Amino acid sequence: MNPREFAERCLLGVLMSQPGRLAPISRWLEAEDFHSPAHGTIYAHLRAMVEAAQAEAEPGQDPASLPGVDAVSLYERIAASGELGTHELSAPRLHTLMATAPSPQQARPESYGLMVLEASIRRRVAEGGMRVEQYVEQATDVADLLRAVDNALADVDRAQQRWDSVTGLPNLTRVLEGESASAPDQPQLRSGPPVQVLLEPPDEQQVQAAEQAVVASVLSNPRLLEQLYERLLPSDFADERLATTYRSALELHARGEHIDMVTVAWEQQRHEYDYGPGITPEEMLALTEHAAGDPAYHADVVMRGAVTRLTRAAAEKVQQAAQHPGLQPGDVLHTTRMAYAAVRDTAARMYSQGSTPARLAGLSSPVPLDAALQQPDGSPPSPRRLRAVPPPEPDRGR
Amino acid sequence: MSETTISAEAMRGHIAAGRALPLLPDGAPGPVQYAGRWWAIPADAHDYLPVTDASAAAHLDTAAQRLHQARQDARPGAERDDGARR
Repeated sequence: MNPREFAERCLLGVLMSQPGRLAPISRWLEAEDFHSPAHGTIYAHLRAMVEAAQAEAEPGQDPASLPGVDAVSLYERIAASGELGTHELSAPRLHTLMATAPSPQQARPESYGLMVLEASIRRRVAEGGMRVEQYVEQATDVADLLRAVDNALADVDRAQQRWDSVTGLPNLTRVLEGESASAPDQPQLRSGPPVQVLLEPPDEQQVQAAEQAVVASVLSNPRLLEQLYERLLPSDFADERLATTYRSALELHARGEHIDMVTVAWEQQRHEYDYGPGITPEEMLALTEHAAGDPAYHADVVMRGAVTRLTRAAAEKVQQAAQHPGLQPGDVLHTTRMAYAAVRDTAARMYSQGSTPARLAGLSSPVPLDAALQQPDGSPPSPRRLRAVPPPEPDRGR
Repeated sequence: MSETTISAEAMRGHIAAGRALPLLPDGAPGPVQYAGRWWAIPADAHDYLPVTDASAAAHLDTAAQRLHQARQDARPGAERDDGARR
């Protein structure tokens, strides 16, 4: 099921539950806008029923639900029209539409209708011989490739700025090249927030379960993003598809738009080329059915997993650099700083937001970060110290 | 390049500067309103050309009006005019 199909289904499902909400949508959405002829037929009949019922509605009646407009009467009306067999419509199919949709209290049929309309106009523009963005279908366009490269470079640049703002570390390469760390135009070399690695980092299964739980919680209760958006980043996810889904929810949150499974599925298709696919609507439905547990705890597990992965990766990178005979000390330090930037950043987010207190260890890293970055007295790091990095111990911290 | 041709890149610049309004949120290469008329890239071309066919332009006008109304209804915080609870 693609996002457009998901939007069509959820729109109809919500409108069958609360047919009164069709009125504003019917001003701009036509049955022909549905890609699925069956969905267009359902919409046309539902719209006609709503118009008839609203003409007879009593004053003061709940406008969301109209007497006589429900799934059963809709099915009977379509059956009487002889269109059941034409589009393979059935009672279970109508029921499935209702079961697929978010709860009427949380649903935004206006948003789903807008998605259906956008998709319809996009099809018609293309049919009219005009080019139109096709999202993933046109992903091989050179301009798209260049845009993706630009995005990647911008990400690298932002990561550098975040590191500098969190730690206040000067450019260590310049320090080694002769510039004093205490020069007037340089910030003092100081220790950033301690990088702590949990004694018991979560295993892959725990991380996977926690990531699913976080996404399920966000889809079920988007207000959680108010607490999570500064703390848990998409890059903390090990599962790239869950990361894309979470990123899409974050982007909707940043724009102040409605968040549910339908809007997230639609949003993530917009960024599919840049970030890869998110989880499917079917997977969203399955996840939210079993959403349970404390989201804050699950977020902690996700971040702990991220710190563990980043630390191991950074340690490997530092060791490779330190043992590379062709690299100058400045290069090694630069590599070290870069490799650990993500670790420190993630750890800073964990510990600055009142997260579960962590236990100090460093077991996942053969190179303690502070030792790699500076001497105990706060002076710039020694190249010899970096070159003396011991080899990693296998499976340490597991 | 003739005066009645605009490259997709230049049109992106017009969109970014607010001088042009794309029909769809994707922006270029989709149809765009610029200088009081519709512009679009034909399926087999790379540059924008004015939409000279009156019927096609009318279709785009209608689509733009429908999208505008839909976005108004779907915008964050929009109140339903039927008074029902969200």
